[in-house]
Amino acid sequence: MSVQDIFNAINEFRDTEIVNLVQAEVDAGTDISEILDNGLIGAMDEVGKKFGEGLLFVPEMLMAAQTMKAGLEVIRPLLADSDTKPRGTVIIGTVKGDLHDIGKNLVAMMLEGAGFTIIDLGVDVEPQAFFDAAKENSAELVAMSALLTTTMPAMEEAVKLIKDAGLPTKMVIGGAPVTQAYADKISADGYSADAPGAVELARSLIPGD
Amino acid sequence: MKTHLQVLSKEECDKIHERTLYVLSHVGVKVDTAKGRAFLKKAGADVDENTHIVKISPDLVESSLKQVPRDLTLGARRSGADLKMNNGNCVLCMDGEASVIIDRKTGERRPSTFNDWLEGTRIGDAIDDFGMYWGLCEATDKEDTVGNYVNHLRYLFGNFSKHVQDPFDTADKALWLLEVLQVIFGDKEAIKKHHPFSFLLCPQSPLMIDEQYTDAYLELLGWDIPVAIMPMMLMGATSPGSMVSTIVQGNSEVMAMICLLQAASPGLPVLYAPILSIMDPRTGRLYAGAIENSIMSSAQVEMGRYYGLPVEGTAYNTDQYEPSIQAGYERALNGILPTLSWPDIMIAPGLLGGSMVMSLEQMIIDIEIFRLSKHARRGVVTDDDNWLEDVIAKTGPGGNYLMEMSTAKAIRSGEWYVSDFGMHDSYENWIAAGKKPLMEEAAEKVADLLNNYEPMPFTDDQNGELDKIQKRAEQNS
Repeated sequence: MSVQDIFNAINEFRDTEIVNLVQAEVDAGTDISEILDNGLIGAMDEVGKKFGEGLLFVPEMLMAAQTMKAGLEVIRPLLADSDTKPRGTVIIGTVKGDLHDIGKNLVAMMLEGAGFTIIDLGVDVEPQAFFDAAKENSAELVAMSALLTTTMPAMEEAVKLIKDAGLPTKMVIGGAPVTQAYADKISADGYSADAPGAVELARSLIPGD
Repeated sequence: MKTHLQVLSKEECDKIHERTLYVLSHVGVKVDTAKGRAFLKKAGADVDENTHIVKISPDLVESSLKQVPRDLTLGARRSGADLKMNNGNCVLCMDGEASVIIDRKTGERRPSTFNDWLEGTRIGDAIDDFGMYWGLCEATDKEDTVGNYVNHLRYLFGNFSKHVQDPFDTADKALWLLEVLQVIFGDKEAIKKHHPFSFLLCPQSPLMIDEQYTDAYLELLGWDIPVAIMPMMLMGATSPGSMVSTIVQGNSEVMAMICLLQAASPGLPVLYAPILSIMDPRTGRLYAGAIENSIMSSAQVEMGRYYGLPVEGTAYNTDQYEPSIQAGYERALNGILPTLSWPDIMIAPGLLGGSMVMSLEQMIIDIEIFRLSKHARRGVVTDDDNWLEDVIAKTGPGGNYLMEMSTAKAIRSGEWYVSDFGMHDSYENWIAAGKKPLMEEAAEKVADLLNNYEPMPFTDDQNGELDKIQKRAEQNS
């Protein structure tokens, strides 16, 4: 057993084995940050690299993320005692009036796989709820999605609430009718046309240590 | 015989139906409209008010299906423009609800406006291949008020005189719609009889029926307004990763809505219209140009026919954001298969980039693809007049058929498709004519139609009544 086995299990989407592999490393006394950085997050960085090169597809990326998440749950109780910390906290949801959540779910899973802590507010989220969650969790990022042009104005309301209050939280938006021009118009910090782009955007807005 | 395309056998259709019954009775559908759940419960469905999951028995599905009328005509303002369903015809319907347009004068990509919508609507009315309206784009420069909704209806019916299918999103608009319909089409009985307006309901995949749009439609109960049931799923994301299971899920969503609507209004006309699409596995986005979309569109036409229902099919998708070689081959391939399957209504020319970008020039190109596809369906005509061995004998070896009456007749018989669009001349003539690009020719057709086509006017009395309704609606906005 080794951290490399954890790394390999994630790259091969072996979600039924990952818990035992991580637990074995914990029991063996391996440093938690070693398991996290070189096993779990390291594997997802590799998966992300393969994805970026077109060698992996979205479902494979998500299965890797799911495997990583299962492994992360094993060490989560130990993280508070270690020096490790997540890449950042992201509040995510579809905006008020919009129930279409497949894109939002994709982004949430891929961000989680990339090491971010996700607080998913679900669908039909009021602008005030985005604000409250961002403030309460000192979130680095709020990610909002809309599929309908009629619901897009709710994005502007949420951006305005957070910016006017002076929160440092970055605001990003996406969804089929959303454009970079609209993001610029409402003073959002970023826009992505798809889930992989959203991960890159989050990484650029919240650089790791 | 006609060119024949079949992507599902009878046995496979039977199996899809059986699996549909399993999904509806064992998995169920999440029905978020309380009114809808009440109708389904009264009809005998197993309703969980906590989870909103409704399980529907095979008996209820079968009895609901039996109640759907197979004999349906969608009415129109214009004489001769009624659409009789299940009658061997196939007409086009514009694609719906883009939010961006490629400006026909500047080439700029920008948010679509009321004027863009109006131009698309007028062109749809002007071109005979179109039999039905769906709003090509959103008027992003107009606020969502009942005043603007009534204004939209006035311009819609004033500029499009064929059948109109036009959903709205909130229940408060229903009464305004009914008022406008009565001014234009007559009283309630006339509207119930002629069906000049139909609605569009889109169950959300996987297996959900929403509250907002469904309740908006339920406000129209009693008026016999037909409903096209159009769940839109993404294979691998919001439906399973195989085509046949995506077809099963789409069929399940349509059947669930049929059960709800028949429980609410027995005998209500519906159209079978699921849009079965595939996810791009590289991004998770709609893979609009994929050939799998057209195969599944053919399958959905076959499933609709299996049930004997009127069918709205889908074609002409592309990933490309502007008219181009890629848009051309994707749309041609995505157009011909569903056209060979022959739905009553074929959506949807005019939009690019996964149906988010409107282009009137592309619409002209798509119509040409539709005409070619229709012609492909004609196949080899073997009427008695087409067996010309006597002409072969008369001409003999080394002769030609140019001056034969049979040739002259055949050219005009419908067996030959002589296109008036695109380049079909000699190289020298093409150069001499200035090598006009296809897009320029399409743009000229658009401009010509907009400059010269006169839509069917309202009477003075109708205009007066519509003025009054609009004034009241604006006061309510």
